This record gives sequence, structure tokens and C-alpha cells, in this order.
Amino acid sequence: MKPSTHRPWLRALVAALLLGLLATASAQVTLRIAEHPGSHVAPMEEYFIPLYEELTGVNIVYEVLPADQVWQKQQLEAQANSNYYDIGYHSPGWFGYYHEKVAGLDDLIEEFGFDLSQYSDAVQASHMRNELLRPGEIIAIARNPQTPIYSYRADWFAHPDEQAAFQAAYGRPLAAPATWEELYDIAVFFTRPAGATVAGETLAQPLFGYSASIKPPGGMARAFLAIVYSLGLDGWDENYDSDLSDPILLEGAAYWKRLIQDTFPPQAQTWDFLEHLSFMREGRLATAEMWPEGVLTVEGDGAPTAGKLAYAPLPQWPGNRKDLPIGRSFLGGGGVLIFDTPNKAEAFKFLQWLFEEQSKEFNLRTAMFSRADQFTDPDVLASYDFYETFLPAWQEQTTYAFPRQYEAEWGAVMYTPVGEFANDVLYDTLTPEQSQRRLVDNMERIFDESGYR
Amino acid sequence: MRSARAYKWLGGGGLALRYLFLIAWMLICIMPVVLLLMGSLKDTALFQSVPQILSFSGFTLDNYTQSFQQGNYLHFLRNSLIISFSALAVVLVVCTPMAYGITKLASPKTRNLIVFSVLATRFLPYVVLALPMYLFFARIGLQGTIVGVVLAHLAMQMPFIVWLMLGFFAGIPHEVEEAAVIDGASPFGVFWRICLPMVLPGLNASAILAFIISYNEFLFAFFLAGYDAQPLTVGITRFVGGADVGAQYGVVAAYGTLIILPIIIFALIVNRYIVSGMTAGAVKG
Amino acid sequence: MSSRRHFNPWAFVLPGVIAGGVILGVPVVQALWTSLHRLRLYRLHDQVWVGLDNYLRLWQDPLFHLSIRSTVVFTLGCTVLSVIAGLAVASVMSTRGIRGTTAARFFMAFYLVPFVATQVVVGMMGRLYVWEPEYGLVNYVLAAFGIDGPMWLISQDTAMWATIITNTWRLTPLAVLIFYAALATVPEELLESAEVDGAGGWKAFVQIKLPMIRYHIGFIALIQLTSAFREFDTVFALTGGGPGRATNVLSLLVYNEGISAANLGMANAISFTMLIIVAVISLIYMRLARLGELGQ
Repeated sequence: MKPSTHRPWLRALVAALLLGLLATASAQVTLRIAEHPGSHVAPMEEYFIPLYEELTGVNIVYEVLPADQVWQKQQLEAQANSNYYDIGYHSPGWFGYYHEKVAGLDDLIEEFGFDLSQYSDAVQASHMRNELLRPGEIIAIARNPQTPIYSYRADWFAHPDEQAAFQAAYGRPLAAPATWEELYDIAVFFTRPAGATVAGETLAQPLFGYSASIKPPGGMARAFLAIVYSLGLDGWDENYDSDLSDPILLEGAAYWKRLIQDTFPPQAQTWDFLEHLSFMREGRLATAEMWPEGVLTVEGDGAPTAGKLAYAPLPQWPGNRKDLPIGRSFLGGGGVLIFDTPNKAEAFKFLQWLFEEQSKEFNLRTAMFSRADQFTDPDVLASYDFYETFLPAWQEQTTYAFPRQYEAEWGAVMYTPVGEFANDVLYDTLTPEQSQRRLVDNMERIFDESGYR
Repeated sequence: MRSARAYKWLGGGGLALRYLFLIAWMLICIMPVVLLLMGSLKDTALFQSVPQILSFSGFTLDNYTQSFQQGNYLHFLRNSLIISFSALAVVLVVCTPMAYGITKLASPKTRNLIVFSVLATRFLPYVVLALPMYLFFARIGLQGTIVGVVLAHLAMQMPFIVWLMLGFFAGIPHEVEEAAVIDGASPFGVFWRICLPMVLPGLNASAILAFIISYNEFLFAFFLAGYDAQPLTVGITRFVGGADVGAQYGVVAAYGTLIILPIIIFALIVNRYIVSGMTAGAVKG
Repeated sequence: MSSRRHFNPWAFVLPGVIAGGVILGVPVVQALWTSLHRLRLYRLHDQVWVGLDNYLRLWQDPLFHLSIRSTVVFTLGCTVLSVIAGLAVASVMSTRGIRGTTAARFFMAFYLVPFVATQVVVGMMGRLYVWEPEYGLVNYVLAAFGIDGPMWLISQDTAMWATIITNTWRLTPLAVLIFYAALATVPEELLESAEVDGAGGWKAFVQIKLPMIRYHIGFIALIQLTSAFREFDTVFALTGGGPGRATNVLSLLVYNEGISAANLGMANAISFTMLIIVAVISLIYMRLARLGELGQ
């Protein structure tokens, strides 16, 4: 109880006051951006933003948020009418939540002469419009629309030993799978313990055949939706009748369970979005789900797997309900939107500069595609060797990708419950029939609530 | 009586054995942090075995460079310090008199009611409070500010600090206060000049704990603070998502180390205040 | 005692009560109100009164019962383990020859490390460095003893244990600290006279020390119980509620319902159900442990 024991909190008080004074001297801000993480972040921070600030004198505050929390923050600010963010990130599944606070862009597009023809109809429909909530308006600019494809170790596939062994076991040559069942066979074929060989080399650690990142709830939903949409299911039709009650969903779930149990690395269950690609980079995965925005993990500078992979569209599900020739998932990725703040014209000018004027530079630095000129530019096409198999697979896959419905309820009736469905079936928490019932009931109840039915 | 034997082994056993136990516990406490520190000094590869992480080769400071540049470490550190010190000050100013007052309430029933109500605020999962709290703060013009975060921290810490201080004030013998009253001290004088100095060690402990709890808090800081007010716990999240190119675990480790290290150093320095505070205050049996 | 009459303790109590009441009261009332409505994140202007419907639906849901079970296991596990570990460490720290030494101070500084480790980081450390079955610390140590470690976070049988241990790691320092301080108040004379009576070691610990620090044990147990009961960050970062629903504790259910499924009414109903459960437990507990009897 010496007097000296006074000091820590007295000192603390003084420090608090001093620091408080410091805090009031912060810089003046013009544009505030809420940003989703991704390969564009570093180029934005290190190149585009400083360049634009230098060119125009506009001040930009660039706030990178964790993937799931971008929309939460935007929602919160919109809710409070704070006009806090000028520019936000938008994935079609989130948009409905705060659509009233988003600026319509048609006037600005006309005023500044923005060229919409660079964006395909599908991308415009999915990423730049919402015909239900904001009919007839452009409300965002697509930045990285994408959908998952199939990636595989082309060097191993081409190896004579592997070719011979696969031919002997399955009676067909080892090649990118045409059906999900073939994908399973290939994945099982490559799932090997430590000490076995692959392409003539001895494995120091076990090798796994296929993986996605399936941590519940988000990861599982994202990955399993590729099965659901490949089954030819849409979720619901124009009368808001659910097609998830179709028994084919249970076939898909049983397949998914088998695929995970027999070929996924067990750790995949704790991996968030794209983490499995780090595992592939280590040479421990033979094939994997590939969201295009993750491709630089395995193909970027210094990646041991660079140049060894090839790409193909997702395989077909024979007997799927839409007679699709290949598999499909939803058209994901996102775009950039402008909030209805006094800064919206300034915000639009920045985005126009970034996406139109810097279109090529943006792609070269981020490997993100959204515009026609990017897919045809010779410099872009020459910038990475892997684009040769990667871009055709991407473009073919995109033509079949499922554009999410416009209803704001998408997350509450598809994304979250479908992830829970897969998770509950995988672990026998509920019987497949119970899980399916739950999924359908939830969707019907929500559509009833919303007055759609 | 296996437990008796275990006790003899631990408490009654040789000094060396007891030290061994304490060292083992220390390793449990710090090993994960040591791995984090070593991992932060390595290339950002995700999968490394324990010997690989702990080896003294292949050191790089790239992760730290990125933490300072992209992670804007100093910006968030400044906010963290402002929030933690302000929360500490507000918490002490409000909770200390409150604890004192509670011990002086005449009716045990009222006393219990207040104590229980204070405690009850610990029962709710904070995640549901964040949204309504944000909207409430927005209505009174506090959204996105440090003030909002500090107020939330005050409410969050109140039960713990009030309870802790209750134990200290309750330990002051009645005779001491009565003597002061006879000497003509006012009620506030008794609190300020007699009781407060007697619980000073407890106050130190509370201050330190309040600081640490506030420094570590994430949820309210995330929901309530705008970019200009966000602390380190929010700053690190941009590297956690895993959606960046080649999930940046090395950077997360570096950033995590940069968050943890200041507070560990702080704990080492003030540690004797905590322990002496606790020891002196824990007179109530 | 004459001036006691002029002294109104409420003057000291009220500022805190008002501050807490306003800061928490407004959101809590709003949350309670919401729990009686149907309210979706994507349609916040459309609040429909449904009375107790959310609560009834909740109680009929088998997955809610699963979550209750995991929450009880998680909470009890964390509370009991952290109190036992705290007592063990603190009592060894308090033995003659160690208490008060520089070594003890040194140890205590490092014992606080888990308490100051930021939760986001704890989650990542746990997932990548500690419990990772192939590369993690725990299985590395087990392998040194010739044991083939389990899959931990990845197996339904062990995920809960790994989660409990991680959270206990975080909670224990507070217990160590407070028990260490409390044990210091047990007068030496009492122990010495007990030793003269032949009651050393374990007997003295159970019969003399434990009762003397009864209040502190009760206090810490309740603090740990309330914080483990609503723990979110650690579990979310480690397992996200999985594998399956093995670690899907109630606070994760709140998040999944409220944020992922956009169902604010239901999320708030779960929260208030939690509030009622833990309030009842705490009331009974405080009665039994007589924690309200302070200041006499």
C-alpha cells in the first residue's frame, strides 16, 4: 500500500487525455470504401489508390473487411442512415438487404459515358441489376464475377505410370472427368498414404484426391451448392415452388458424403474459403475445386505448383433435371456499388477511371476478369501461361453458371440452409429425409412470410 | 484417496517436483504464443511442422513489413490505446464508487438485487446486443465513435469490476470508518480519504484487468467503431478471412504477435501491482 | 454513527446503475421486443407481432436441444477445468519455498499470457499450430510419447474437448491469479496449528484453505460460467460449430439464426432463452454459495 501504487492508473489517465487530443487531429476524407478481401487489395492499396489520389487530389479511405463482415458493416451503416461509406462491395446474394440506400447509376453512366457493352448480359443481369428490387436500373459495376471450375495436376495426369495404373483400374484413360462419378474415381485413385508413389516420386506425406474448403456454415454451403446446381436444381421457380424436395437432392447428398469421406483431407472441415488451395500448393492435393480468384495461390510467383495445373469445367451429373452438358455452381464473386451519398458522382468517377481507363492494368495486377476487353487483350492473355487452359474453362463454365435469383431471401432460403443440410447429412445429425424436409419447410415458410405465395 | 496422494505429490512433495509442475504449466501457457512468434518470422506457408516452425533458420521480416504497411498497425494501435485507457478511466470512475455504495446499502435485499442485476448483464450473448446498441448510439449521434465503444466497454466490464471491488471494500473493517466519522470526516471524505487508499491495490488490479479486457475486446469494437476508431482486434481481421491470395497466415501471425506482445510486456511490468492488489484485497475470507 | 444518517449510499450506486441501465437497457429492451416479432434482416421495416411463436418453434426444434446439450457440456467443462487448474497452480504457487520468491513473480507474469491473448489470434493459433492433426503441437508432443494423436477439431468425438481445453487455457489465468491472492490471506498460524494437530498437506488444504477461499472459488466459478456460457469468438474461430453440430453452442446458434439466416426475431428468442437459463442457474448458485452476502 505504498503511495507509489497510485501511479499506474494516474499515468493511464494522463495518457488517455493526451492520446485523445492526438485523435482529434485526423485527416480530412473524401471517399470511404468498404472492401472485400482478395487479390485486388494489394494492387489497390499500393498502386491504384495512390495514383488516383495523386491525379485528382481526392482522398480515399480504404477499409478492408473480412469476407462475411463486409455486408454486415454496410447493412449497419445503411440502417443508421449514416452515409458513412461511399463505395461498397456487393455480392448478388447480399444486395437485397440494403438496396434502398444504393445509388442508381443510369444518370451517371449517361453523364460520364460509361461503356456498358463491355459486360455480358449474364454478368449485367447477375451483378449489375436487380430486376425485382430495383427494376430497370443499373445499381453496381461488376468487378470479379466468377464461378468455380475444376483444377488438376496436369503433370501427374500425364505421367505414364499414372496413366497405365488408371487405365488398368478403371478401363479408361486418365483425363479431366466428364461426370461427377468420374471425378470421384479420379479422387479415390489419387488418395494415397505416405510412402506410396505418385508420378514416380515417393510421398513424404499422405496425398488427397479432391478438396474444397468446407468449414461450416459458409464453406460447406459454398462448396455443396456446386452439387445442388449440377443436379439441375434451381432452388425455386417463378411461382416460388421449391424444387429442393426432388429426391435427386438426396442422391447428390449421398455422393457428397462419399466424396468427402473418401477423398478430402480431414482438415478441409476447418478451412474457410480457398484455404484448400494452400494445401494444393504444398503438393498434397491432386485435384481441387477452383474459384478463379484463388488461382494465384497455386499459379502465382514462387508457388511450387505454378505451371503444373490444368483446368476444366465442372463435370456433368447424368440425369440432372436441366439436361446440362456440364456441371455448374452459382455465379458468384461480386461487383462494386455506390451508396446514395453526396459523394456519389465523385465515387462514380473513381470507379470509371479504375474499371474503364485502367481496365487492362487492373486485370494485369489482380488477375480479375469482368469485361470483354480483358478476355481479348493480347497483353492480358500473355501475362500468365496458365491462362491457356484456365480462361477457356472459365468462359465455358460461366455460360452455364446459375445467376442467383433476385430475392433478398436468397441467403436465408438457399445459402445458409443448404450448407446446414449438407452438414447435417454428412454427420448424420438428422436423417437425409429429415434434413431435406427442414430445408423445404424453411423455404416455404419464408416465402409465405414474404407474401410471395 | 488418490486426490490426497496427488496433492501430496504436488503440494507436499519436493521443491523440485513443484517447480517442475510450475514450469510445465508455464510451457502450456506460452507455447502457443512462442509458435505464433516463430511462425511470424517465417515465410507465410500454411503448413509447417513444429520443428520447422521452431527452427532458427529462414527468418524473414516480410510479414512484419506487411503488417505495418497494409495492416496499418500504428493507426490501429493508437485507437487500441485510446480505447483501453479511456475505458479504464471510465470504468474506475463509475464502478469504484458503485461497489463502495453497494456495500453501504442498508437492506440486504436491495443489496442482493443490485448485485444480481449487475451480474445479470453478463448473461446475454453480446452478439444480439451489438445491432440494437449500434442503432441506439446512432440515434444519439455516437455511431462509429470511440465514445460509443468506450461506453459499451463500461457496460460490459461493470459486473466484473464491481464484483471485484465489492470484495475489497467489504474487507475494510468497520472500526476504521467509524473512527474517521468520529474525527469529523464527511461521508465522501470517508470514501475518498479513508477507504480508497485502503483499496488502492485492488484499484490497481482492477485498472490493469480493465485495460487488458478492453484491449482484447472485438465484437463491440467491430460493430460500433468506424474506421477512424477501430482497434487492433478489428485491424487484424482483414488478414484472417483466408480469401486473400495464398491465405496470409504469416501476416496474421505477425500481426497477432504485434497485438499480444505489447500487452505481455505491459503485464510483465505491472504484474506485481496485480498480485499485490489481489493479495491485499482478498482479506474477506 | 451519527453522520451515517446523512450518508446516502445511493449517490454512489446510482451513476453506475443509470449508466449500465441506459447503455444496456435500451438495446436489451429492444432485443426482447424483437424476440416477440417476426423480423428479418432484409426487411427491417416489416416487423410482425408473433407473440411467443419464436419461443415455441425453438423448443420444438431438435437441433436447439442439441445446442443446449453442447452448451451445457462446454460451460461445465470450461468452468470445472479452469477452477481445478486454477486451484492446483495457485496452491502450488502458494506453498512455502515458492510464494513470494522472484521465481513466483516470474511464473505469474507468464501465467497471464493466455488471458491477454486476443481471441481472434487464439482461434488461429488453435486451429493451425495447436490442434492441427498433422502439424500441430499437441499431436507432436503426443507422438514424442509414442501416442498417435486423434483428429481433435476434425472429429466429432474430440472437437468438443479441444474447444473446451482451448477456452479453459484462456480462462484459467484469472482463476490462478485470484486464488493465489486469496490463498495468501489464509493466516500462517492456522496452518501451523493444524500441522501440530497432525493435519498437514491434503487435510489442511481441504479443511482449512478451501473453506477460507470459498467466496473466491464461488466468485470465479460464476464468472467463468457466465463467460463460457456465452462464448462465441473462440468456438467460431476454431470449429464454426462443427464437425457436424458437435460444438454448435447456443451463441453460435444465435449468430447463425440472426446473421446467416437473417432471422432476428428467432435469434433474440434464443438469446432470451439463454438469459433465462443462466439467470436461473446463477440465482440458485448464488443462493447456495451465498455470494450475495457481501459487506456484512
